[in-house]
Amino acid sequence: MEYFKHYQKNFNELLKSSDDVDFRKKNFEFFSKNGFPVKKKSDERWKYLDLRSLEKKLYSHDLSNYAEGLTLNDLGLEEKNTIKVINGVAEYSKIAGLDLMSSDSYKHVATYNEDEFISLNASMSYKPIYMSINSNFIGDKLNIVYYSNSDKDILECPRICLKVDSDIHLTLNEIFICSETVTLKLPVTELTLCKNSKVFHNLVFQSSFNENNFKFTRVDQQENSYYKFTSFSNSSLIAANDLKVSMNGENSECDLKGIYFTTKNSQFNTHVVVDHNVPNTKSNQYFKGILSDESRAVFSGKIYVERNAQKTYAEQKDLNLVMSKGAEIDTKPSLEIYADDVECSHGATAGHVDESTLYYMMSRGIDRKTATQMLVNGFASEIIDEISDENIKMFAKDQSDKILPKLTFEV
Amino acid sequence: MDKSLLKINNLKASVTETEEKILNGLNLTIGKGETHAIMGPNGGGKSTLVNVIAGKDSYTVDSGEIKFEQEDLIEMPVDERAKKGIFMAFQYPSEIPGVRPWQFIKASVDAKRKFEGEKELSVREFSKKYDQNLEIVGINQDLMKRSLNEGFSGGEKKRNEVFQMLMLEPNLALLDETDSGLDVDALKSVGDVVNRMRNDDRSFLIVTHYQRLLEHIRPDHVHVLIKGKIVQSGGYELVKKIEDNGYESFE
Repeated sequence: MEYFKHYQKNFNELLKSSDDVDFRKKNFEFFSKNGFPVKKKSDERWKYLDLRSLEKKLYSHDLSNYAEGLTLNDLGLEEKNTIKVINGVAEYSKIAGLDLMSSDSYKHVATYNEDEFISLNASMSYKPIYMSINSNFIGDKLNIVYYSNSDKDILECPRICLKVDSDIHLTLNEIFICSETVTLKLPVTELTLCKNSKVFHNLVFQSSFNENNFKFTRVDQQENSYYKFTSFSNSSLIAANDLKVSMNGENSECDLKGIYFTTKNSQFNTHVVVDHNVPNTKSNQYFKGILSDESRAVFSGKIYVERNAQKTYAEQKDLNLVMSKGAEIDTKPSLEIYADDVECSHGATAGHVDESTLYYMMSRGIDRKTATQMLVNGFASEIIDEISDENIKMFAKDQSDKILPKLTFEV
Repeated sequence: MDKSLLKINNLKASVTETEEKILNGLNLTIGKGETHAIMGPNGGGKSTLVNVIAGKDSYTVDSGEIKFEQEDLIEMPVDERAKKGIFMAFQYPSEIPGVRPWQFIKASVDAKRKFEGEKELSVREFSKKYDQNLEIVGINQDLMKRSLNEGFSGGEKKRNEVFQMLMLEPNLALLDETDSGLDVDALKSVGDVVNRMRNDDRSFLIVTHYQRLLEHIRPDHVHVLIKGKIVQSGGYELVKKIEDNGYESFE
């Protein structure tokens, strides 16, 4: 296929100016062996999505760094402690307590052969960031804002690897600001949570119908660490929220939540894996979807419990509101358990707005449309209210307030 | 002038999905300011009757008429009936995740006021009324910080229904087995609220299995509903007769 040649050429050029040559080569090899996972039958994550468009359009790096058009204050976001990722390239001023690491001193959480998108990211990433956060870090918040501004069809492969030192408490906000740029974004964020650390991670996608955004988050949790992840996503052309948490230290706990709105002809993929590798860990997955028009969403969630990971407590739930006849959800929760003393539960639902609840609300004088909006809004707020950062919560609420009146309600 | 608030003539209604006939030619007139009770065995059509009046679309009216203040109700949407002053306290109120009681009841009160051409209540006016009424019904403020009806006990849900009735000040209140599952104190509290709300313009239709609530309320009229028809009507003394002889003597 033509795109292989295209990315090979881009890769060769990038390799000249890179130092981590072996790492990149290994990753690119994996990508070029498999290509994009188009209708890959064996892979639950991608088989329901139509990714053929990725094979047709050729995306290239645009390293001319245009930050214009991005004013954080107007969006209710802060400049302080913010890393801006423009066209896939991170730029930031020095932040105290945030120290650069060399690429070989960081132990990667994402593996090179787990996903074609991740491999493409690793091989094509321009100036990946390796950092550790230590006790000199002032404030407790780090923002990463992604924005695209180019008139070309661009490929963006930002990679941010963060090691959160022992006992550090951090709020990490990642925000994707919409743009008109035609882009294939493959952002990868790797987080290492050292002993006793706590990370509150909020991830917001603003809608953009020119963007393909495949976001990967990989988390390594060490002893007694706590990780809370809350995502809000609005429709893009094709987007993915792909999250994997490895519980590698005893008494660690994670709480993973997300809401996805899909409209028009958008496709959205939520993929969540929690690996319980050691005893006495706890995880919760709670995701919700609101689907309308001709959109499509996929949820595949997995709880994996290693043989020695006794006393694991793991829950998983995916609830979907399907607002139109043309929308489709494929939800597939799964458990893979090799230990015997564990408590795990999972469940998934897909349904329309509940008629008896609507009747109850209308019997109080609330008209059908308003009642439906209140119901949908309530359904979404349960997740949005979990966003730990007030600014980001407002930002997400604002997004959802804009979507709600536009949703069509066919039953 | 016609003093009736609600007039039901020869009403026949069935379950929409199964076409099972439930109401078989029911007649009932409720005058302004009157309190009526409907008693009867399970499956007789009590709940169907109040739901048909409120407008639930899982029931179909096959024939007959329902007039509310001389206006035909059958084609009227549920929310419009509510705005015109019909309220139903549900037997099984819905739980609504993510919707706070305050927000929900404010939206209800505002919708009704807007319909009547009145201004929305200011947050302050509304809050004052809200807090007062919570106290009257005996609901703890903390409970109302949850999502509507979520994690409420059966009794708390019923009290919340009565609270909404107080807030919405309906002309016709339908109470669908509000007394079931209530303890003695809660029962008395519901009875007190109804008695306190009774006036010359407001009417009640109370569906119940038991005489307990009716002892507090002392309805003006009592009807026995069996197999979709009212087989006997009378005053409060009918309650005693039912209690002594059961429903079989009416069949």
